[in-house]
Amino acid sequence: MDAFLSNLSLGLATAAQPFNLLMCFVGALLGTFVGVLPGIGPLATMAILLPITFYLPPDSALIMLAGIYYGAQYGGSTTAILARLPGETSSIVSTLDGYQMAMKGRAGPALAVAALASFFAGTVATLIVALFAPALAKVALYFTDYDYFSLMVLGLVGAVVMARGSVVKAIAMIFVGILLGSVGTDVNTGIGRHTLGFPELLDGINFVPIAIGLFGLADLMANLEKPREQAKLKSTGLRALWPDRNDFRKGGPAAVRGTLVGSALGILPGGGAVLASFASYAVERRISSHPEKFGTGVVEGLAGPEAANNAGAQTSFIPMLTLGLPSNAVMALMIGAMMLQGITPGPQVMTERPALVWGMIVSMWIGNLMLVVINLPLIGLWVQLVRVRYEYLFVMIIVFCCIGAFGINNSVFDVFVAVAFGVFGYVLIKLDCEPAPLALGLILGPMMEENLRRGMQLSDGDPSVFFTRPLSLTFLLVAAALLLAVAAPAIRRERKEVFNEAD
Amino acid sequence: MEATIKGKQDFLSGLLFIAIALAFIVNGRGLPLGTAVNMGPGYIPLGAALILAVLGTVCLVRGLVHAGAGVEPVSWRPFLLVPLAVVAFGISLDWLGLVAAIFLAVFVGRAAIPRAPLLPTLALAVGLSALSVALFYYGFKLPVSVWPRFL
Repeated sequence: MDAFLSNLSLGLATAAQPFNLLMCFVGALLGTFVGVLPGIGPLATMAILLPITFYLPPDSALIMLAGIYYGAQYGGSTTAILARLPGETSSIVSTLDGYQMAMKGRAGPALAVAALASFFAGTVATLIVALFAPALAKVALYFTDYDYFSLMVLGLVGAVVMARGSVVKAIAMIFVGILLGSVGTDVNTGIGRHTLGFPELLDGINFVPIAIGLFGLADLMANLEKPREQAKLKSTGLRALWPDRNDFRKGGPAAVRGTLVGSALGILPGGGAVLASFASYAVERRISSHPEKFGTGVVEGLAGPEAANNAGAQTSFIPMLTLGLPSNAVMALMIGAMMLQGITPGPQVMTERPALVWGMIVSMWIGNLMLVVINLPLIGLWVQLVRVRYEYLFVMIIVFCCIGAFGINNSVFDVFVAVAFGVFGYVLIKLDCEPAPLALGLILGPMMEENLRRGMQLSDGDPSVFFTRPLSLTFLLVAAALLLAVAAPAIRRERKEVFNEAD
Repeated sequence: MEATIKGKQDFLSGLLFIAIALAFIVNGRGLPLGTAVNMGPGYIPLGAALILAVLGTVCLVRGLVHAGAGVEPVSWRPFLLVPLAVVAFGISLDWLGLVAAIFLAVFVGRAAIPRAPLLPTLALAVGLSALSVALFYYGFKLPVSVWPRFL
């Protein structure tokens, strides 16, 4: 307990530095901003801003990036409730009951319920991160090369199971990522691989232009094809902001359940905000005594998912901070940001840079508090943003993508890499292949290769060690069980149901 | 051809995966493979590419056998003009400078939407240039020139 408190106070000391407070605010504000704006999400924003974080101290950089992620969860729900436009994928569920509440003239309480549930979840999730992260990091220090390799296999399998759509395609996308990750100088021999003669590729393909292309430009090209519907705003009922007793009585427990569901799913590989919100909605509907009323403005259907997506967003930092394992594309970007700062992700980060880790954890809570303050009084302002026409917005996104890609290494080459991956990403969207597993493979591929090669050297080329070490075996068995489970018809149906709930 | 492919999306995904795998296999021919004990630089990429090829084949066959989703048509305007805008930025940045590169990107990119009005686009280009010069040139000190080199 003492360690827990001293960790938190160290975190508070870091997070409360004026500059870090400012960066936390900037991140949360930016997150809300892109959360409200449809057509640009936290992923693209973080990718574009990565080059800038290079100029910041590591703690400030991570604090700001994290703020964008959870800030977007708040912003996304505002437009979901008021205009039935989910700013983010994770707020799709809120368009169901949240928008219906607004239609019934209860927009104010709906927004307040969303903000309060999110804040509650954010507070609990911060504590969960603070409690679990050190323990996990301690265990991870005893991991051998074999354990690490198997854990990464588990992480990737988890990402596949949690992804929506075809499992085969998701696995294939991981391998595409691993192949792309192999580009560059081989660490052991110094031989350049797959560089096509470009000296720029000797250091590997930079993660930032890939992310800008896949998540920024590709999305933008796909968005431009969709017909734009002008947002219809619900402006009535904003005056009465405070939820009534019924909202508290029913929404409160739902928020608690959502927090639990979200926290659990956030930690799992492949989890995060999106899955958490869908799963929480499914849970709420299942345990409800009046499931037929869901979709007509039931407060549980809003409070649960809103809590869940925020909790999931935050607990997904746990595997990233403690094991260096990204559980989703956003965390892959966070790892990219750490690497830019010269920090090797892994369990040693917790012991070597406690101020960085704890500063970030505490900043999440501060950021959540700021978000309630930014959001509730300024709702009127945020709502106006929905009117920002995409035809102007997308041009700005293009320009920022260009400058972001250039800024990472001050090299025009990276701008062209971004274009190439933009086109590639667009093709992937057309073929319904999720780019997130690719990002994970790209980050994890080189680490897996290193562990595998070293492990095989140590074992004299005997692969059976992966199956005889207890930890490694456990990870592989869980991974195999997960894969088998997706193949089972019953779970397959369930999975489909969870993801299609909102359609 | 149309009638025999039941799931176009799966079929084409399979083709794409196989093509990527082949590209890596062909391009990685010269890399020493090494042995399982002492893996060379070519070992893992070849392994990954082979697995990808198998997965691609599974996708392809599934597309042939199972009825599945088709592929939505590509709308060519954004597909061509958005990348072109970024390429224009990349080509011009070094010798025409930041402002001209942004103007090019804005005007080419803006054409991705039909009937783009001129005046708001111009205002957007001016605004974005001013913002970028302030933020990235003066703020973050990106090593670019603001105006064309030859001026």
